[in-house]
Amino acid sequence: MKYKYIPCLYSVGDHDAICRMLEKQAAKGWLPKNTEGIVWIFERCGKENLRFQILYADDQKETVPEKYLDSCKEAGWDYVCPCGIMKIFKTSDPNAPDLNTDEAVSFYAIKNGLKSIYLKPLMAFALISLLLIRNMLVSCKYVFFSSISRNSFILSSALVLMLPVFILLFALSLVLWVKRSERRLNNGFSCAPFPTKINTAVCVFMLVLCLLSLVSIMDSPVKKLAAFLIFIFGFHLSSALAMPLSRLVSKANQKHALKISKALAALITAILYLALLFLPSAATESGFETYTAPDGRIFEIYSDPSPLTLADLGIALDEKAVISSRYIGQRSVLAVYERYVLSAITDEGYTQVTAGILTLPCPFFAKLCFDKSAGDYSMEAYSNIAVSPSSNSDGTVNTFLYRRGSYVISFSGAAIDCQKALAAAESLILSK
Amino acid sequence: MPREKFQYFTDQMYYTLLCLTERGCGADITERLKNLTGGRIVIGPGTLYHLLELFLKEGFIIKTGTDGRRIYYILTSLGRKRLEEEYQKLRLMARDYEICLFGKEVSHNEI
Repeated sequence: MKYKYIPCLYSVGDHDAICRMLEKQAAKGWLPKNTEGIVWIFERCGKENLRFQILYADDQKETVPEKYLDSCKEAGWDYVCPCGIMKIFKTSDPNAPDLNTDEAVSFYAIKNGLKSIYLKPLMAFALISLLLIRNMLVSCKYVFFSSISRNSFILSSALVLMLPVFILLFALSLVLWVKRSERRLNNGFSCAPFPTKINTAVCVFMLVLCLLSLVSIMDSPVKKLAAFLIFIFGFHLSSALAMPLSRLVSKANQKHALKISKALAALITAILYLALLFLPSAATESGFETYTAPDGRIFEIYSDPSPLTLADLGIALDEKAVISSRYIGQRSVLAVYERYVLSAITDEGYTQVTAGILTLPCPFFAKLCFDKSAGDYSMEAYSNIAVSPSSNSDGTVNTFLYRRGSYVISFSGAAIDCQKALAAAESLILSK
Repeated sequence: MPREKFQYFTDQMYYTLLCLTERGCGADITERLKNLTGGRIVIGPGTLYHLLELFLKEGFIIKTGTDGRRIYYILTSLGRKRLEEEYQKLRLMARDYEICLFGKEVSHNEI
C-alpha cells in the first residue's frame, strides 16, 4: 500500500497534537502528502524519527514565501506539505532550532487562522440550523403529520436541535481558549492548553450526526443498515471498484492521478448512496391509518412507504395531465403550488382527479421534488377540498396524494366521474 | 473589554523592532540580533515571518524595497513610539528592582 488515508479531527489550532500525530506516523513509515478536508493522505516512506512543526499562513491559498523556505532550510527544516492554512515542516535533526520561538506570536497566527478557517463555515452552519429549526417549528403546528410519522419526526427534531448545540459548543470552546490565552499572554504567562478533547468530541458528534441524518432518511431498516455500511466501508469499496479506471487515468496523467482516483471513489460512493435512496423498498409498512380531523370527521389514509420517484409521481408531474396548477404562497423556505391532475382511469371507467401539493425548494428540483415537506401543507389542502361543493356529497370522492418523508399518502374513496371531477376541480380553483 | 494587542511585548517582539531602527531584511534582523545579544535571544524563522506580518499590519514597520527575494523593512514613527514605551517600562522596572534589592535611590530625572 503506497498511500493511506487517516481522518484527523484535530482543530487547526491544535498544533502540538497534530505534530505528535505526524511524528507517530513518521515512526511507522508514513509521511503526510496532502490533506482533503479532515482526511490526511500519507505516503509510504522509510521509518524515521522526525520532528514536525507548523507555520500558519493567514489564508488557505497563501503559500509560504520562498525567502522563508530558505530561512527554514538553513535552520534545518524541510517543507513537507500544506494543510489549509497550516504549512508543515519536518526535520530529522533533534537539535534543530524551533521554527516558532515566541508563543505569543504563534498564538496571534493561530487566532488569525482560526478566524479565516472557521468563521464563515460556522456562520453558514448557524444559519442552516436556524432554518431547520424554523422548519421544525412549522411542522410542529401540523399535528396530523407529527402523529403519522411520530418516530421519524422525533428523531429528525432531535437531530435538528442537536446540530446548533454542537456548533455552539465548538465555537464556544475556541472563543474561550482565545480569550483565556490572550489574558494569560498579556499577563506574561504561556498560552492556555488547547481544548483538544472538547474539539475532537464535538467533531466526532457532528460527523455522527450527519451520518445519522443521511442514514435516517432511508425508508426501511434494511436500507438504513445498507446506507450505514456504505458510509463505513463505501470509500474503500469504491476505491477498489475504481482501481482499474484509476490506473488508466494515472498512466495518462501522473500529476493529478491521486486527486482523480479520490474523486472517482467519492463519486462511486455517492452513486451507491443515491441508488440506495431511490431504490424501491418492500412495502412492508403500507396500510390504512385512521385520521380524525379537527372537525370530527374520520378519514382513512393509505400510507405507502415506497420512496418517491418520478415513476411514482409521474402522473402528478406529467404536464399533459395537469388540469390546473396554482401558486399558494411561500411557506417555510419552500414555494408551494396546488396542482390538480387527471389520474388513472379506474375499473369502473371513472377518472380520478388527484389534488397534489407541490413544493419547490429551487428550480433545479422542480421536476424531481414533490417535496418531503409537502405534507406540511396537507391540512390547508385538506380544508380546501373538504369545503368544496364536490366533496363526496353525491358519492364521489377526491383522491388526494402527497408526500411526507418517505411516505406517499393519499386520501381515497370511490372514484368520481371525469366530467364532474373536472368541473369540481375548476369550480374549486375558481372559487379561490 | 477586549485587551489591546501587543500590550505585552515578548523578547522577540522587542528585539525585532530594535533591529529595524535601521533598514534591514529578515536575514539582517537575525544577524543584528546575534551580534547584539551574543546568541542569547534567538528568533525562529516561523516567528520572524509572523512578527514581520503582524508589525506591518499594526503599522509599526513599513516595507522600503526589495532586492530579489529579500524584502527590506524599517521602523515607523508609531513603531518607534511603541518601542520607546517598552524601553521606559523596562527602565522603570529595573529602577524598582534596584530600589527594592539594593536600597538605591534613583531620582526621577535619571529615568
